[in-house]
Amino acid sequence: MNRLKVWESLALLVRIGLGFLFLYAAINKIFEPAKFAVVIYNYRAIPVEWLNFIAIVVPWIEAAVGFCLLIGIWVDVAALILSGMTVFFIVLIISAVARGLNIECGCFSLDPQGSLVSWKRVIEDLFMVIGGMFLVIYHGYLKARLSK
Amino acid sequence: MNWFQKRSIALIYQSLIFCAGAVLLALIFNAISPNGISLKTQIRSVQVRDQVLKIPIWAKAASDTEEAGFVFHPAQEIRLPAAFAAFQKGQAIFIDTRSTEKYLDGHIAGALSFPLEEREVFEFEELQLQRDQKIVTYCDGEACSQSIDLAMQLEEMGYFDIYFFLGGWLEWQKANYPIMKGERP
Repeated sequence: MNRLKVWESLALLVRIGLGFLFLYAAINKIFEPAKFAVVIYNYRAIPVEWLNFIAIVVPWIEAAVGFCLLIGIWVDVAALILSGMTVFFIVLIISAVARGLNIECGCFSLDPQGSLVSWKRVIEDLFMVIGGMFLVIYHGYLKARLSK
Repeated sequence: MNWFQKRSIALIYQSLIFCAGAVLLALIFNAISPNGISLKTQIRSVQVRDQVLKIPIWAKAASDTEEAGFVFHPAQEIRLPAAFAAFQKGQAIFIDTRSTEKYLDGHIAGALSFPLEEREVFEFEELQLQRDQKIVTYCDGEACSQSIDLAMQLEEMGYFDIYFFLGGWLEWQKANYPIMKGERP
């Protein structure tokens, strides 16, 4: 019983933390899709025709994920999407670092003086994937199984 | 199919539906937002070193700029020897598209700073260059793209002697050509 409580508190903490992060990351981008498109373009990894579409859509998925995690609905689904997206971000950042691109990450802000892509970003994102997968397992499987 | 498999498939389906919902919201918001952008990126093809590059155009269409009725001259690549010749003769104005920080650290002697990521393209008019001024844009080197991006946008704005120097700051420095540090006097 006690152990369950510990997991529950941990899940709550991770859920709120990740939810806040994703919502925060989404806000700027939602209002400035044109700037975000340029940031994505600089990664040189996405077909140029799709830049605008991705710049419009990705922040909204982030926002929806963040919102659901924060208020605690569809947590398993939101966490799964969060993990998938973050894995994709990790691949993009690693490819940029490996190609020696000195570009803005576009992770949390669109400020050109903001943080650049780096291994530090990759590690941060790895932690987010771990957190996300933890939520998927906890909310999507353990909790669903217990309540069955 | 066991419970785990069923649950996983359900999760994946739900995720797809979730994303579809978010995409719908995004499209609706983009349609009504004053900052909304077109769904498909406008692109222009440009010949660079035997290959055709697709460059997105972020600037407004030429018809939207105040300058109307100009003759359209496509921007071209300029290589180091030609760039240096133009530099020596004082024919061209060099535009450094890198960040202000990098510009202050060192730039092609006499180059003007126009950090593409810190400024809006229309602010280029503040440099008050003539439309027929020979302009050479550059950034770090072949790995960066701001030189081409700015060149394409200037072309859209009606400047007609535009070149992008792909070798950029790295090639210039390697060749030991004149550089400057700090603000432009």
